[in-house]
Amino acid sequence: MLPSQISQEAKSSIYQGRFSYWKASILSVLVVIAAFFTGYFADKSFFDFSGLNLKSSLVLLACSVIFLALFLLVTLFIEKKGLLAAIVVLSALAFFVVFLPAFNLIVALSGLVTIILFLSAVLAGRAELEALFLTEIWTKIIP
Amino acid sequence: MISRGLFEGTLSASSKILKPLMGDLDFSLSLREISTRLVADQIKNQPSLIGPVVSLAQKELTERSIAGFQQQFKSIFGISINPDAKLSVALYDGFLSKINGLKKESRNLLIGVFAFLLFLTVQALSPFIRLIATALAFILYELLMVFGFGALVFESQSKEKIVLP
Repeated sequence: MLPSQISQEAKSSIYQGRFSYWKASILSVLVVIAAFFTGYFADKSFFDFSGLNLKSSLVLLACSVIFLALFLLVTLFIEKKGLLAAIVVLSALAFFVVFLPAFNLIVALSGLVTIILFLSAVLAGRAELEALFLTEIWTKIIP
Repeated sequence: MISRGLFEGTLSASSKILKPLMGDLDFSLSLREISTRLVADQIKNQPSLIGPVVSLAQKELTERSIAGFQQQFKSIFGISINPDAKLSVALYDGFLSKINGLKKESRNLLIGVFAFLLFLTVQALSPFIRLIATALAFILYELLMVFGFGALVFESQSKEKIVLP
């Protein structure tokens, strides 16, 4: 959507400071579910492996793509950094839930690294957006 | 750390890739089957051997080849190999015994190296994955905007910026 397409309603800043938590929750739940399934199929493919086959690789690829797409949307729409960080940590934990039965120091460290990677990715994304939108145009979840 | 299935699958895939270097080595066969096949190939190229001598020589050479390999395997991995078990299984057990024999620090380091390799593999694939994910995210974004989930908002609030020259 180009800036010229912004409606007059939006230009009058009626959404200033308003935020739809229920819409943010929907996005959050979706990204957490996608993270869980990506972790589940990663576990199935790499650690509970039953033969290198095209099907399992494609399923893992599809899950990763959906998760990343939702991750991008969450970064774009949810401007509240605290909430964003909480969602990202939750999704990293959901990604690692399936590895918990084999919990050890390595799993704990990998989980920590995943949380740090997810957080740095989302913060870098947010910083990119802030640098990109130096004008006052923002994508917002509207109530 | 790595399941038997993953190890066997990786070996099977790498044997296909390394075929020009290693020849036609099938890790799903047992040591006895591989030795028999190799010896049979060698005997085929010896026209001087005929009749019952062939089968006798074949048996003898196979046994010798198995014994030689078993000795080498024991010197490398420290365990003896069952000639009737699949080669991939024997190698897995060999590596497992070698890893279990390592000190805890070395074992953790090895696991760390494996995790790092896995990370690099995913990183290598990431440009391709990123491309598809971005396209999907854009479609979802446009759909969400069309259905009123979000809007482009013009902020009138001024922002202060302090720039240090």
